[in-house]
Amino acid sequence: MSCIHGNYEALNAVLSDIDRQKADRIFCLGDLVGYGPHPNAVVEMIRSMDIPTVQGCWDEDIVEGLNACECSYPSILAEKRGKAAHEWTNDQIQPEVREYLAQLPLSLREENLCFVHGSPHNQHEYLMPEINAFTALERVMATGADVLFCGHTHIPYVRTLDAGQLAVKVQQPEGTSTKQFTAPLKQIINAGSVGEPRHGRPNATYVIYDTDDKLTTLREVEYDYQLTCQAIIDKGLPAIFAWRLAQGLEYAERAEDPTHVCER
Amino acid sequence: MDRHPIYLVTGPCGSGKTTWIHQQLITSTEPSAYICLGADATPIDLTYLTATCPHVKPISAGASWTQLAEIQPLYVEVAPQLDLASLQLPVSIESCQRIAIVPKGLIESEYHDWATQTLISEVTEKNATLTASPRWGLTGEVLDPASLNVFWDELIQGAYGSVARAKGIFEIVDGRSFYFSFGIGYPDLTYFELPLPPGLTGRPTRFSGLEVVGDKLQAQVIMETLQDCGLDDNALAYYQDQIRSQLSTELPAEVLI
Amino acid sequence: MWAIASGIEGNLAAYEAVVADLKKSRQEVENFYLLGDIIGPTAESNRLVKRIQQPRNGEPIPLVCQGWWEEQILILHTLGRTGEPTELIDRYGIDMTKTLWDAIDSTTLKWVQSLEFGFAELDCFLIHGSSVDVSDELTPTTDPIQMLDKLSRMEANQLFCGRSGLAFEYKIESGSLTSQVQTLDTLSAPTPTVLSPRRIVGVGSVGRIEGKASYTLYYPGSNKLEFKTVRYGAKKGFG
Repeated sequence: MSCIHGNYEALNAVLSDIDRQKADRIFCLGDLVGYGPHPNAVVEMIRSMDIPTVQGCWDEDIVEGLNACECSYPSILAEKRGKAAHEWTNDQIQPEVREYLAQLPLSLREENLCFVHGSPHNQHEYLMPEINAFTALERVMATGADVLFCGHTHIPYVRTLDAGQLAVKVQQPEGTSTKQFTAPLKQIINAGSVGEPRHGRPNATYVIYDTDDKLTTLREVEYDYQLTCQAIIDKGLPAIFAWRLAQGLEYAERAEDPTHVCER
Repeated sequence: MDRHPIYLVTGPCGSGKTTWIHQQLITSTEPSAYICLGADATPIDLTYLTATCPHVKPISAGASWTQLAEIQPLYVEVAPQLDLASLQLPVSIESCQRIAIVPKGLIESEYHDWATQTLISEVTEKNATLTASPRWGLTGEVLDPASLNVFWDELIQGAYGSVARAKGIFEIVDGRSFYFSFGIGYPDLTYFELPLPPGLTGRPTRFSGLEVVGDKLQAQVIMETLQDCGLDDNALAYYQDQIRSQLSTELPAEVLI
Repeated sequence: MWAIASGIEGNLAAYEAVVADLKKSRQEVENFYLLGDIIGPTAESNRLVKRIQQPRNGEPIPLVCQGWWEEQILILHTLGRTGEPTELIDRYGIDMTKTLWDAIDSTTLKWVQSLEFGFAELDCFLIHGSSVDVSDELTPTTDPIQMLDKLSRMEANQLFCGRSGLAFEYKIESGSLTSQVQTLDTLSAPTPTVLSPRRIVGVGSVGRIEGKASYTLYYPGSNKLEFKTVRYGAKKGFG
């Protein structure tokens, strides 16, 4: 799972669903806090269950101060909303929660599986499903793993990259050589978002991966999002977040130009 | 001297009076005049009409529009709150074309009794009789287009209250002025650039603003959100400078104004 | 014809040898690129920079971008993209920080600050390392997927670089890959991506090897490359 964003109701619903699905292990791909009304409760839940977690870009911003990539907000309005959310969250976070977020690793590895928030190179890079196939392949291969799990985009998907081959010829003053390169099957699996959906419905999303048959199930979980909406308003977060959550829209739009590569 | 026609146009709030008048004016090239009685028209309507119909002369109520009626067709938009029986006109009411724009579902009304011609609008009765519309003046504000798009989508989808009709004129960062229009029952959302000269030197002085007909509207939140869409002085100066530089490298020097 | 060079490292004699070699060529040099590492940890760098800024009659005007040594002097003066000269110390030891600091005067520093990061021309991108990092060392043995990624980031078909100091042409002649995407609501058909040829060119090093300067000529019309070597100094005979 990924991108909980302080949405405790959604997290509870997802954990119950994971229980029903009888998963053996849970991994979390970061962005535990940010925008949503219950950042401390979300972190405490993840900690109490000892869920291996990587640090997301919002977690990093809370630890190190707001320094979001300047390419991440496509409008002044979204940027202002993002700043308001950061200030509110920063104000609410308890010291031990901040310490926990600070010690989160940037990536985790489990056999041939790798877990990151944005991409292996950067917490802020969006791995959209339509990025150039060879760029996608590079991201997976940079980890040395066969399957790269990521979040950050808030829309779950499975991308399978197969039959990769390259023919290379190298000429130097001392001579010429040729080589053929082939890539085995690789996958990028995006876990979507528990707490801040972008797929047009307010439900939480996460993924289940079967290490035996290598099959992935994209899970969509309904929950009482109105409770989160009410908490957003009660706690003094911008009321527009409540409306946007109910529509299945992100709280503040993010730039996701697949041709842009964040150089932070 | 032959008199040109005087068209009196009335109907409930949001029924489409200005839209009908605009449709008549845009298809004609002969000079015409437009006046609004009873303060129903906003500067939005006036700005929109005069920008898109340069042959139309707007007249403020109280001016001597009586003489103008001698020399050109005159369109008079009559606000619904005025008493139709006691309109002060320079000519007898029988010599005027009396047009009532009524919403769907309204079968009998004083409009029907008064009018020489009754036209059914696309708007339903429910949406045409909502509470009076708040207005937000935005003159001097320059908006970031991406923010404006987000705000407008949120507005018409009900994020700030239930909206039946919304129209606005907005200045955006590249100096252009845009007209936005939305109405339940109207054809798809309209927005287009007004044929006005680009404003690239500081804050614009021409009119921009928003008017909404709706229910349970969060007026304060709408105002604050619009302000959040605007550029501050430094950002505005920076972008206007960039655009002016870009234009000066694209055009031959003698073409620059 | 473009002349592309890198890695002068303050070696004025080597630079003069390249310029003389270009003068001997009958063809007009349309663009003369110097891809970073103009300076090195030597005071001769200051004279070299003055020489570059004042091309003589008939000499092409160099187009210069920042390289690794330029980045290091900026870091020492807290003007760089990172804070600490970690890489400089790791590679050359702590004493190099003083050597470099003492070697480069304020006029040269100001010039370094004004340099571009790279150049885009036609379908080519020219830079010292890569667009990711000035330290990025692309070599004949770099993984092809990595090479492709560097090209994709700049949306270029050809990348000219100088970090490695080596002269090479790394050509990706062809490639293909199939991609399939499953979302909550859709499953796409497997879609092939086919690559058109593209390449990365190491342009050699002018000043790194004493007595032997290497640089590259590129002909945009025919897309041809020519690796050039010029010997100079006392040993420029058959040594």
